Amino acid sequence: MPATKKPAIKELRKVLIANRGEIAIRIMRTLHAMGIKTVAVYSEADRNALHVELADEAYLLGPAPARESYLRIDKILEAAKASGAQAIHPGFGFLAENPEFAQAVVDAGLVFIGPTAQAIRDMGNKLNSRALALRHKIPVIPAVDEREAGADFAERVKALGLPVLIKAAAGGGGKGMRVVEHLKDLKQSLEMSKRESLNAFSDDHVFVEKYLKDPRHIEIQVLGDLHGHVMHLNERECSIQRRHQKIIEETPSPFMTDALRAEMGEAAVRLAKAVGYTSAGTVEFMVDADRKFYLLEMNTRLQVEHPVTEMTLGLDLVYWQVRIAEGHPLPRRPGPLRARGHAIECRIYAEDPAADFIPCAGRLAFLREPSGPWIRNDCGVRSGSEVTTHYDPMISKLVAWGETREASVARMKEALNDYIILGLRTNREYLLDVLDLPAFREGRLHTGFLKQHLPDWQPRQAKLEAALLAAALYRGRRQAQATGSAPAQRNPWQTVGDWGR
Amino acid sequence: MERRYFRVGKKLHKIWLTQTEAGQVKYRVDEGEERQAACVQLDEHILLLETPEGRLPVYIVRHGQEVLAQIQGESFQLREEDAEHGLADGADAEDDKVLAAPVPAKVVKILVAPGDAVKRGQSVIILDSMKVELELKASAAGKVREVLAQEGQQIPMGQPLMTFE
Repeated sequence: MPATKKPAIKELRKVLIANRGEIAIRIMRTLHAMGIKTVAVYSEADRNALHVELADEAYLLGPAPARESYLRIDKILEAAKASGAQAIHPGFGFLAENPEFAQAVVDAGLVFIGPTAQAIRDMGNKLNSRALALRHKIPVIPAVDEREAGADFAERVKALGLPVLIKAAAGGGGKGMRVVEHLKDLKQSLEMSKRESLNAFSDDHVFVEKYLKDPRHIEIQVLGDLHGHVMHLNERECSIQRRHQKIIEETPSPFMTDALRAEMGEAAVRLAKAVGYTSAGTVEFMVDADRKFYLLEMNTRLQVEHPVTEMTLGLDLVYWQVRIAEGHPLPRRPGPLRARGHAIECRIYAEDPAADFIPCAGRLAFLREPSGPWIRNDCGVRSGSEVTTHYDPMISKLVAWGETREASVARMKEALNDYIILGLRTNREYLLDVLDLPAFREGRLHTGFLKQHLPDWQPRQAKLEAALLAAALYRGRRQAQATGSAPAQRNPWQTVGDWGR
Repeated sequence: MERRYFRVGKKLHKIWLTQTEAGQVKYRVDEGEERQAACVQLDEHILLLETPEGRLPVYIVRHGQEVLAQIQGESFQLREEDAEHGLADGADAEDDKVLAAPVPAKVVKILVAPGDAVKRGQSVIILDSMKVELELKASAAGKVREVLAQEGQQIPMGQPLMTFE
């Protein structure tokens, strides 16, 4: 779709971030570095949150539940007006892929830092985007639409061949997704998926896809500007998933070839151009063992795993989102972008991997973030932060870069070991065990990888004896006392064994 | 000599400690051998253990009735118990008879009724936490005695949902 008119350049001086947690903070950091003032919004549960602390201004939206706060379009626009913000960045999740929100922002005379409402609408419904892809000769996975099939539904699912995957038409983030192995489980799973979809997206339209055996999830980052130019920024492999949600992402993919990258990149750009895409977006594909790829969906927003692309290309995607929204054209380079080295991201979730990844809540009694060469931690919490069950349980995304995949994985392991999180159960140790698996090191990844290689995971606890000893010796908070002596001269029994008694 | 009990997961562990000279401790865990270590507290949440295997920084915090620790990438949750309670080690069997909510959640659907026979691993209730549906499963074969929750009900963490016999 060619751009109809040359947009005027509008420099932004103040931006509201309609989000919370690590992504709100990550966006603020770029805005601050660009000399742009930031406006945070928050719910009653987030009064003391880190994103509120770091913003130049902050506005209360309402009570803790998202639909009474972070999903309230009217309240967010009120805050934008009160603060004098010229633009809104939606982050990801919440309202990021809500076309009504994108439209309401524009209608209020503000800039939406993202694609157009129409592009979000075109891609937001997976059944729509499938039809669009087919028109543009991009392969999709065979599927049956539950509503359209009507009474023939079960028959047609059977014809598709089991297992199948139920998906929410309006879906994302794994919500509403379910694998069905046997036809007799179809009804119950369908009910659960519809309910989950209704709760998450206010829409219970679901469809059933043929379940590919051990595919890889490989996606292409795209950037489009207001001048009709769309480019791709290479791939990310996100095959390591639990509950259909990514937990480890990397670029380049160990499975990628230059030819496949060019082909997938070209398909992604074609799809983005078809909807007049004007921001950062991601076209997700499933890739089978024969390197055939199928469109999964397009995410019309910044992606959680965007930092790995930033690390290997040496650019800031949020910076480009802002520049594009201001009306600046993307730089045009001949030929493909050259990535440098390898980057990997681990998502740190407050959850219990030994109990089916159940989300955990709690107060972070002590947090020490890892550091070191080529380590980046986009973190949304600090010591003392309360993690509630109101929102997504991801507390940070840890990223490492290396000259090779081996080097970045080694740095990631060091950083995970050095990441001290007390007071909240997380998947940190589980991630360490994943990185240690020979199949992971050899890059033999697929979306069923974790179920295959780490079923019934339990923590190793090799240092149990030391933990028992430490627990027996630990007395808690140090009494106020003069302790000016050097560590070597300190009597440990005064500092450990005896106080507090 | 001091004797302490800590529960880690479902298992109860004993540790005997004797203070020798300043900073030195002799200890024995469960049926293991006697070992020696030194310990210095570097900060409110950091202990430095010197064991025969080497130096171990321990990050540690007291959290309600529990002690939480992280050592070389491993996380531990230890609950101190007094000797009498600890030795009456019947808790494991009891745990299988009550299904409690592992997280604060909303009850979406109850899949069994009192009197129903259940198999180990059978789904018995569906909860919704943070918009993710969780199927809780029976941890052992048995019979449902009582259902203590209702569909649509918001429940706090740890609340018993049903009992088995």
